[in-house]
Amino acid sequence: MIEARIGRTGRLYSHSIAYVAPQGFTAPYFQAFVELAEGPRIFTLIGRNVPVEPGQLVDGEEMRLIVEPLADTPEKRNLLTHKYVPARGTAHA
Amino acid sequence: MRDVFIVGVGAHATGRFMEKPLKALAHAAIAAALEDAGAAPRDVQTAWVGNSLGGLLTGQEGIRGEVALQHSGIVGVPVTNVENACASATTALRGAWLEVASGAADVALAVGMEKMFVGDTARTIAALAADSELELSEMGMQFTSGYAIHPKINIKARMREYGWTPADLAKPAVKNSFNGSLNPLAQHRKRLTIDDVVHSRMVVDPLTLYMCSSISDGAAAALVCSADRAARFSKKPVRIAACVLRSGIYRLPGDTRVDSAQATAQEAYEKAGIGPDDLDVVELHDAMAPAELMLYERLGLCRPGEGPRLIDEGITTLTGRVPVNPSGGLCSRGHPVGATGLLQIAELVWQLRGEAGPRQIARRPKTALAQNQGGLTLGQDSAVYTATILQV
Repeated sequence: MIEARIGRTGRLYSHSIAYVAPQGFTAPYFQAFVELAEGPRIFTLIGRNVPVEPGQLVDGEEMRLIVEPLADTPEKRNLLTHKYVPARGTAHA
Repeated sequence: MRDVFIVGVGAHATGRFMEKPLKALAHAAIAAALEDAGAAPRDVQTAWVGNSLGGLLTGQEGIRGEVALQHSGIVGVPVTNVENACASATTALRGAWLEVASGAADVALAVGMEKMFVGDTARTIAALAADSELELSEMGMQFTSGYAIHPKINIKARMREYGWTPADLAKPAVKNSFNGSLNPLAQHRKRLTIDDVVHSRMVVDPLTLYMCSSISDGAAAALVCSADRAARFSKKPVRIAACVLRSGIYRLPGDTRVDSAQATAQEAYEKAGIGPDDLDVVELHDAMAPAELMLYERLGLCRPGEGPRLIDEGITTLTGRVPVNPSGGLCSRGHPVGATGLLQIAELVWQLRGEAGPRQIARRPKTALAQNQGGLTLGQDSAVYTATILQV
């Protein structure tokens, strides 16, 4: 294992919408893998400002790192985590 | 290494058995396996017990194997507990095989057991999620995504690459529901149509409810022994020609190493001295039905993208050249995770002995493969892969 610093961008490798969620999360919600410029692919949720609808994300597009609560539920709203949003535009700040 | 034979198998039906604790499920399977072999509990010299979720779901965090075996009258012997997610049972079988093959024991028992119905579905789902590396489950990955978009299989990408349609994804579920309808041990015995499967509730796009294996209770067991003991126990011993276990690998994008299910199967083929064309029947790990299409290519049954054609042409149906999942597979027979691998083995033993009843493959199979896998790591691979080849 080697430690590496990661930047704020990545590329959307794959994504889908889950219509069933484990406890503490609310369906429907996006599921995604983002390929970091530094190499690894990581599982990630998508920022809550992106409407959960087909067509909102395009595999291969540039993504930008944000930090926000893991989910808007009582169990998870106080846990801050990394998520990604499309890099295009500024709507998802 | 010595030859090792399976001389008895037994299983508890899969399904929802609220009145039965884990050890009762296991006992039914163990008693049936011993009876099948004409063996008594005192004949068992060593035992390997596979279970995945019992700690979280029943609260029996430790000594689950000893508890179950004591209930079945098997005491005073080495008992090894095995946890390897959905591949716990075939991992237990490998332990039993290894002890007999090495000469450490002559008669060994392998057990797989799981109790998933505990009256709280959310708790069961959380326990299942705990079979993935924490950074996946805690970050909110719904485990169906492990098939829908995860790099190791990525069904969504395969649809783009191969032109597979939702109807193609449904085909294994339809085929296996027919097989399951003939299996008295199966959890789901309703025959499904393409329409039923495609139009059932979406879980994680493109996977629908009937493409997913479901929560299940169940257990299975196999008694294995050396050649000289085999003749005493059984008129129809089944030889374990290969029993391969390996962990997944950590892959970065661009990794060109062969797929791990494929590598595991290849190792098993080499050890058994056969190739995929020699297989007469296969039980494989269709935790999500479309995975069966991918596993066809990874096991060497077809070229990339040809999975749906194997079903269209009837090659993998019960009457085909190489029937796949005659038991109904994980989606129809059921997927009590820590029992699944030995449920596959039990089915193959029945098929090889010509004892599978209405779902018996007419041209009696001689060579069989069980492919089982489990868990998900951050390494873009499943955590565990097994491949077991049986021959008569």
